[in-house]
Amino acid sequence: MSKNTNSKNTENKKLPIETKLVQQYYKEVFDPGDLISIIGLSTFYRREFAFLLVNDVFVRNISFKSASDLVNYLVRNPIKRAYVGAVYDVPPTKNATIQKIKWESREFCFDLDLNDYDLVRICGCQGKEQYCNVCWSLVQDAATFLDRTLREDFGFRDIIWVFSGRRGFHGWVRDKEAGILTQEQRNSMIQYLTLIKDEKRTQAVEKDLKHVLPLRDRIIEMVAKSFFQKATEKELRAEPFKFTKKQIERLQYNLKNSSRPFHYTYDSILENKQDRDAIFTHIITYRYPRIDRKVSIDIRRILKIPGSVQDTNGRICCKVDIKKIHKFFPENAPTIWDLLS
Amino acid sequence: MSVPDWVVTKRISEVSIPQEHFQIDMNEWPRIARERANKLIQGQRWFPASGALRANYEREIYEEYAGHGLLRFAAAENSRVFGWLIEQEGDLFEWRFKNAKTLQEKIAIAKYFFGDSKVFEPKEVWTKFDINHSYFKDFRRKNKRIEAIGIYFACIPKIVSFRSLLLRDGLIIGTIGDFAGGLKIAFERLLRDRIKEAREKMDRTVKGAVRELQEELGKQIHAVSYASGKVNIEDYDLFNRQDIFPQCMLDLYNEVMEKGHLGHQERFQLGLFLKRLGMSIDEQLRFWYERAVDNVGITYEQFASSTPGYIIRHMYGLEGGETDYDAPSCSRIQGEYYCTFLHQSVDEIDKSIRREFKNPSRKLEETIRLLESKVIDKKPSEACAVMFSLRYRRGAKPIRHPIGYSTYAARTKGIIRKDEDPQQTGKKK
Repeated sequence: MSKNTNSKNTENKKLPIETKLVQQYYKEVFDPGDLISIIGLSTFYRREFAFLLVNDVFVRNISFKSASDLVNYLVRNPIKRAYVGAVYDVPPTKNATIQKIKWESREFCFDLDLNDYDLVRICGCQGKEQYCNVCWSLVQDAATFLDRTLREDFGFRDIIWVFSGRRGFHGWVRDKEAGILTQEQRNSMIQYLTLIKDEKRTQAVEKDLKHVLPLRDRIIEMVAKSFFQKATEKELRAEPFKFTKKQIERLQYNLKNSSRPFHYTYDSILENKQDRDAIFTHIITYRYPRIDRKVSIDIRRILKIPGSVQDTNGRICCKVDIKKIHKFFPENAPTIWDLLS
Repeated sequence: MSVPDWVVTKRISEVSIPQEHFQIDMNEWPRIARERANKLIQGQRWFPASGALRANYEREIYEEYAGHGLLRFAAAENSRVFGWLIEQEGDLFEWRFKNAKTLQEKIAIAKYFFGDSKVFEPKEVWTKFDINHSYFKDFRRKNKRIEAIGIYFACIPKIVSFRSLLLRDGLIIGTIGDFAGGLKIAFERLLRDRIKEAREKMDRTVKGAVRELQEELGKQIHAVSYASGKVNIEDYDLFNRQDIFPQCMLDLYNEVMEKGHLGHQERFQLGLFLKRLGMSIDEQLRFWYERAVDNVGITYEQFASSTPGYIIRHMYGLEGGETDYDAPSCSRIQGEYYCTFLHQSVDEIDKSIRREFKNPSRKLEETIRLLESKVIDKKPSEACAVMFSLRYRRGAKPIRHPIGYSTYAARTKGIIRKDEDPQQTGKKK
């Protein structure tokens, strides 16, 4: 798919990738240095790794003394998917399983996936296989919003974003303080960030943000602005907006020409007769980030190894610069075939 | 500034009076401990040697630690005393914190619990942040500005969850008073650890006196609960009355009845609730044996002696650390267990209410909407109170404890009366 069209895209190369090809990739191309730049070297030998093998056997509780041991494992085994987990006090093994040993740290991670937006993908794309540049912008916006919130509200500095291989992004907060957060603390952060309750059913929205004005302002500045940039005239005339022609013209003019923060436009365009609560709720429902809670809260959770191959399409889970994330589309991620050709 | 000596979780070596005062004296300590216990039972609130001379100060601080120290030992030996002491000392600490004379004293306490680097004093806050920014509008009033502190967000997760204070650059910013609840939780957590340490360190010389003290206190706490008009609900077999269960417990109970299975945490939540409503250990074992589907094919004896039986005995303080666990409070349930009004969707709650209240009147409909708005606004305790008023046609304050809910419901329904002495009514026990 061209990123400038709205046509739906499904990956063409769905055939199973040959194991030999995957092993060749790990031998010749995979750079463990990329992974180490995210998870660090000093605790590498105490990290849990996990693998889904081609016979669909899932193996956990594996650790490696060095990065080259990891590469050797990837080269010698029929790997379908490769994952990395938390750091423990001793290296996880079959005998010293992660339930038996002491958890030490794990980056605070996020999983943003287009699937979670199925109920509000107005473009008609559904599931893991379809996307277009209309719905892809939902996860792009979500990543930029979360990145800024994590920095400005929670004070984190070291955040890396990785293309998840299929329909979203993984965020890795690498700050030392983030690694040692307990489940309770991670849960509180996710509660803070979650405004849509029961995302797959009722999608009830929390609107009471009076004590957290920075979050509220950021929503207007980023989420609402993006919503209005993409909204059609027909949408703006309908419930809950019921904008007049004059309002729409002012909105579009300001979006194009105003250099002032968007909340000035937002506040000046909405009139008394308009139901601000309903408008805010609508915007949140359609464009606010939807986070996979379990990935962020569960301290023993595993996540795909950055640099590994996505088995369903051959794409590499590559790092993405948050400043350029709006220019990144799944087809920009290199494939195993590109890299081995 | 150092932490005031009245923060009794301080180690003896950290207290400002000469260390030689703290030799164990079993002629004196039991009396001092009884006096402290009596004060706590009577709900007295005090500062040791407030405004007194240094000589009195040393004596009173000595008594503070001697009395509290021996009560800690008693709590380590008796689960009823354990829960009681944490609650009482927690309340006393909160009162003392709120009434501490200086802001510096309060900040020192916050630093003691959370660490120096996690607490930012007013001056540091206003060096870091621009008070003229619109986010800090509320702090421009002098009294708020000079009491504003910043605490690293991970120290008080509950405030983050509920978005109840401003969060900026990793700091929760509020006045020192806003953090009293969070500090009380930190105090109680540390006291729990100190009591566990006391269990390991107990000296042979104090054991006899501690046994006497804990038995005496156990009875006294029980007796006071009657005298203060608190009914001992364990005597009413309320575990058989699902009509007085709060919604969370009702959901869990129905889940067990319908599906025969609950997750570990939820089993613990319901099990402790049923226990607190008077279900004996044998009744509890029988209840889970008969209801849980994963017991198919094993005998009751096998069940009782295997892992599920162990877990149930654990709840009654007969295994593991031998803690006689109390039912979790609503705040704990909301954070760690299952709360209908926090973890169910509005849609599900709506359906369930409408199954119970068919064709609601206009007034009832308004109440249902009010409940749903509380759910959306993440105010589960208030939503539960609205649920109470829907069911029993009587107003209730925000619900803080499922046992409180059931007791009030039982009173409202006339199952128990405040003036009734359960020991004379021929009820169980």
